[in-house]
Amino acid sequence: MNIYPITGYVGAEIANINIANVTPEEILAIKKAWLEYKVLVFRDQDITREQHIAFGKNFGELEVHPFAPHPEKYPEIVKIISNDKVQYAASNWHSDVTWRQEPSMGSILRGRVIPEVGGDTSFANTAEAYNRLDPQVKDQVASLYAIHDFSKTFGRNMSDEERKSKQEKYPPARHPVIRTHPETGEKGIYTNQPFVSHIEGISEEESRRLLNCLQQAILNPSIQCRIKWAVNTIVMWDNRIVQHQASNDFYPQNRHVERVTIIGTKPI
Amino acid sequence: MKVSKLNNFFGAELQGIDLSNLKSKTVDDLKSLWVEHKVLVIRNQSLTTEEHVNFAKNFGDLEVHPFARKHPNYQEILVLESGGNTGKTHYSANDWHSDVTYREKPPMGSILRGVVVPKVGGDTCFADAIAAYNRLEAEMKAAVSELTATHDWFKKNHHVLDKRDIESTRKAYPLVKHPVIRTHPESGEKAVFTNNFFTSHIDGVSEDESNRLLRRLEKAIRDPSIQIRVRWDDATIVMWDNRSVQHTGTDDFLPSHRRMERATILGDRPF
Repeated sequence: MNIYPITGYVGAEIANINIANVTPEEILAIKKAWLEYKVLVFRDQDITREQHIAFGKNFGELEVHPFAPHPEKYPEIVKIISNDKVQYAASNWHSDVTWRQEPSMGSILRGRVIPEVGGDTSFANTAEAYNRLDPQVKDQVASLYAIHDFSKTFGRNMSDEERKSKQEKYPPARHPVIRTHPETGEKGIYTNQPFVSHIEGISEEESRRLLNCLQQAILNPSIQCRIKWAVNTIVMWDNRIVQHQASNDFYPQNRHVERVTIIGTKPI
Repeated sequence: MKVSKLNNFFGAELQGIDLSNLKSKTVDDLKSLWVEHKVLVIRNQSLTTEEHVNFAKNFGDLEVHPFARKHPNYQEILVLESGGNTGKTHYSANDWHSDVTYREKPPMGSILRGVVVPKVGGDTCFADAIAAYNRLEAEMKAAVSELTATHDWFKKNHHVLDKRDIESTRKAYPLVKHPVIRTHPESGEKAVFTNNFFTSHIDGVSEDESNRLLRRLEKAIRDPSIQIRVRWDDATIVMWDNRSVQHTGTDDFLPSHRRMERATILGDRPF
């Protein structure tokens, strides 16, 4: 297994490995690289859905997404499809399912149908984004909590009734604005635009100002990398310490990617 | 010559071309490819500084930068260098901009060459300012369509000048106004033409309104959906159309040494 970093702060290409058939030693090496580089890219992995799921289970239990569609017989796989009828790309910076009480630890996304150009995924290192904040802002947000609510994004197309029943099942989650990575101890920005409704305990105006300031830190290309996809490219990211976004630049071409998601712990 | 697109809006990588030995037909091809793709990434080139200057002269007269460090033997070559043993421990081209917009006639394009390229980091990101404009809400387009903005070199360059030079530089480079949305003189397309480096404010509106509009335009440029990211090596040349794209460097290569050389082609007054 060879590791080739992509940028100074986030992302590495992993070569000379077959995901369908990994040894326990390789899993350990992948875990170590994952914590260090936060986003790992594997190329030319022609695996089955069973193998995708099995690879994911090396890192923890897998999540079943309550809203997103999955292929028949594979509830652990989230199927993300865009084409001339569905112009879809998660183009706002976010980490996955932060509206859960225990948001996912990481995601493993596999390309199945990829447009010739476009649809890149960008990743931001939230620890380096945090490091670069003004000391004043760091102090200000250090002990604050934000409210994360799925309905801000996923509730838009639900009926009132459906939204209400889902809200009972998935009440808004309260997470620290700055999260500490449970394994590395790094601190990272843990607010995002699609799911965070507000920061608790301060005025609405101040909440908006701080959220904007935190978002600007994520938008800095110096702490980002950008991944170009191909069929059978697999990208695995640490949801606790990166944010990502998909480029909405390939409509009306087809794009089909599939994700398995590793269950995480309550952010601290 | 093989042309591969980097994004659906803009950007192309060129293979199978030797910039040190060009036929006039190829120069014509490059001119139209440049307007069409806005950013051209040309790999596998081994140009000397002199060849770089000569290549750039195919596209127009070259600028001598008023402030930046220049190559001792070639005044038209701007040297961007930091890290390593240079004593420069930070990297300043670290936000979205187009080059030298504080001039009455900002450059039409820049041609950048990797000279010392770190193993990892120091990518250059480009944003398609035409796609950014096209994606604005109709009300926003209407709100800014007739406005101009004031551009000022002071914000980004005053720290390299002595106090007594600031006054004379002010005279040489007075504040200029450019349309907020400029029209590309060759393609006729409209592009966002305000930036964080040099735009001080939008003229004729309140400070609040100016800030609000500039923030919205900045957000349009900061959208990765209209961006590409170019990784360098020491055999890569990138040329961008300053009239239709914005760009930013990244500082994630520090403390490694990185040296780039830029030739900048004079442009026309934006309209």
